[in-house]
Amino acid sequence: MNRRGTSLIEALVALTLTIVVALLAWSILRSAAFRLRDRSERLGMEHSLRAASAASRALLEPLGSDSTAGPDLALPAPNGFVARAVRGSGVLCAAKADSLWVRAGMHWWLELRAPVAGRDSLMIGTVSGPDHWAVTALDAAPAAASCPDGAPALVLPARVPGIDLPAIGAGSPLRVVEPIELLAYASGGAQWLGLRGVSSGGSIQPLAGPFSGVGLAFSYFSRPGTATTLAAAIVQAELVITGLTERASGVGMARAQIQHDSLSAAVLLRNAP
Amino acid sequence: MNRGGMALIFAVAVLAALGTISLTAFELARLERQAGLGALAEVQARGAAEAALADAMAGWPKSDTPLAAGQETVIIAVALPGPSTGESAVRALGGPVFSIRASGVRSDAAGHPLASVVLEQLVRLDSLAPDSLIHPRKYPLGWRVLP
Repeated sequence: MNRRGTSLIEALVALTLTIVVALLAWSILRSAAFRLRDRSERLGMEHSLRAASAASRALLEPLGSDSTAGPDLALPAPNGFVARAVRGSGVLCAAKADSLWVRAGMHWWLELRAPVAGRDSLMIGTVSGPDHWAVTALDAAPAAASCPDGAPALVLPARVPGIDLPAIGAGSPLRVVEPIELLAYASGGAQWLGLRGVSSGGSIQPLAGPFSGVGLAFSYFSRPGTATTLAAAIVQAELVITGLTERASGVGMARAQIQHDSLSAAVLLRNAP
Repeated sequence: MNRGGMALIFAVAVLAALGTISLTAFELARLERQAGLGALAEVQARGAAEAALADAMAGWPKSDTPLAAGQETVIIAVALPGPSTGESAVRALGGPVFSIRASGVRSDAAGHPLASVVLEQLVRLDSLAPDSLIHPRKYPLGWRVLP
């Protein structure tokens, strides 16, 4: 009997076992890859929801209204709003009709970026008479100077309204503000949340997304709890977002549906009068 | 034909693919957990800062009020479960407007900070109450989160 080589039955058994093992391995790999893509997509969607909620809260929460400066919130709409965002802050050591001296150095001057003339405005708090904020434009870039007491300062060229000049001076809080638009916009069949500097005329920059077509809506409420779009009356804003995964879960033929998740948040405007 | 070698290569390839997928999944789970814990720690730090600010707004002895511009006095320290701690300090700005800075920190068991939040409230101090405490009055648009 010739035992060299393989019989047909041995070959069939080997082939069958190979196919079974290969199918088993493929099934495990496909399942693992599906779950991995699913987790990855869900993680991305949850990150987008968190980013949209956090950005909206960070912009809305410090807003309010002042008798002279008016409301910080403008153009409240279901798909976004324009808000005064603080870019820098400090404390005055002196004020003249055409310039403001701000104390420089750590613990006095805080800035997210250097003030830019034509883009930023200044809000100056009064230290005598009724409490309010005077608003004026920044006319030129700040320069190094000294306070009357010799401490280091920044001088900000700005024309202070004559009526407010007697009420501001040493100890007046100062803020450098820029109007920022937070807006939901459509792109690629989905909604995205973006930011835009209004005074710089920049284009909108994506911040978070994608969200479903009708899945991002702001609503605004006055103190009695009634819906309003009157900026000065708004004390609370609510945001409802429905996120969706950027890609369907799974790979190859195992693709599943786009997944959804939602988030709602209420933000109290902490400086509302 | 050497079938043993082929099986070994096949097994190694499958194990490598499964290992890569498992490691990536573990890393994703770790990132997700880290993001969740970070968000929770920030909420707890914020709570501590808000508590310290609320306590400070209730008033403090007149003698604790700083006088010179830039001078700062710690007036309240709170400890909350977590553990998180909060502290409020009043700072003279050189005029009748003062700044209350409330900071909150959420730490891990070893005391390393996980998240911190600093709030500021501008106030006026022109009201001395009958209980001999300074009761600050909120300045308009005076609340904000410091960077």
